[in-house]
Amino acid sequence: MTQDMLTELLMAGIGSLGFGLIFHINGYKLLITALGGVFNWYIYLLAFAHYNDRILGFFLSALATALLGEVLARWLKTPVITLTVPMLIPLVPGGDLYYTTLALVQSDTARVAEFGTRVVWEVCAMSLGMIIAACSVQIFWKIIIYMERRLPCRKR
Amino acid sequence: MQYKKILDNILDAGEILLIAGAEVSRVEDTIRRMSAAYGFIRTDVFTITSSVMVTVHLENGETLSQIRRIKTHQTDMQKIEAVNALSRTVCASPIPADELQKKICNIKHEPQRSAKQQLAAYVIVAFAFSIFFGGKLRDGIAAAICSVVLFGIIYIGNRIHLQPIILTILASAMMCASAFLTVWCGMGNAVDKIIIGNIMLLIPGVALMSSVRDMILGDTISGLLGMCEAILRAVAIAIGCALVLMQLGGNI
Repeated sequence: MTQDMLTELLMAGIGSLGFGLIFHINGYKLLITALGGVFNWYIYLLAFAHYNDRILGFFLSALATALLGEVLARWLKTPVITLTVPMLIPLVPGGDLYYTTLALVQSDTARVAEFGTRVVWEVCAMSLGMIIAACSVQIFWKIIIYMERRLPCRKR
Repeated sequence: MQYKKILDNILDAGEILLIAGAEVSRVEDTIRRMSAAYGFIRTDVFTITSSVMVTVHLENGETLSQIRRIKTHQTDMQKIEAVNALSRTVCASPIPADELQKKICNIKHEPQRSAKQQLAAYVIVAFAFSIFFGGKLRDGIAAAICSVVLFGIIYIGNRIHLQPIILTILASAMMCASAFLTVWCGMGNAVDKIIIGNIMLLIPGVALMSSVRDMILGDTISGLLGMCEAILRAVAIAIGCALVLMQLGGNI
């Protein structure tokens, strides 16, 4: 864990907190979103250190964070996106979008292709992570509801 | 007459949700559950990101229909949560129409974040992300200063009801220009990090994520609409930046 990584983790937390403020989240949920931002980037750093692949890191991090968000939201009885959106913010590829634009302006076709595909891949990895998290939680949830209906011995 | 009023209020709840940035499936689900709780025997609701249409069947065979058109979006998780809680209580035990109207009116007119609080949040986000993407402390401070400019433009643009896409182009162009200005003044060091910190503020994260969720949960049309909007916004940011970079930053 280098100093750069610690700075990144801290800033991911503060950034998520800031987005929580913009999206009008209040109270202890702000703290949850800030910690979620840190968790999100921590998983990315772990995955990146392990697999040395940026896109896979984005996917695993989005998957873990979205799962955490879904579970927490059901536990706290709050809509899922109020937690997952600010938590996933550190993965939004703002930097690569900028470098694509810069390369376009400089008419550097090779770099446009490189960064452009990077943006697309990162967004896809993020979406896929979210999709898989949402689907698995839903499957699990539906099974629980089904089981509860099937078991007559449960107290009303 | 009472039924009409209840339907009106239920649609208001849906409208609040949609404006606040909830997923379409949540809006439809809330409307369906609430109208079932109030004893409508059948509810058909169709929602896309810009409108809500509902037809309910009454017990005496009559039907009531209403349409709402939504033109503005203002992300506000507090309101989504409040409507969600209200819908939970209503489904458990329906409250009288007057009380429902009062509660929904309260949620609708709940104060938003004040301009000062929002500005503070913008400054925090720009500062954090310009350092997050590899800037130094002075780049963070420069990004915070640029975010004040960005917030000013967005605030005024919303006041004079500028179209969102035009506002995004204008805001990102002015933000880029001010980033170059801070570097020329010797405030910042790396202009790219300063700009990236501010781009994160403009990027349509909510539109992207809620449209992805919409697609999974079965609302393909709304998902595609939201995705289109997100891509358009991203392109608008790129255009705005490119306008300034073409003049100033071709060799950075």
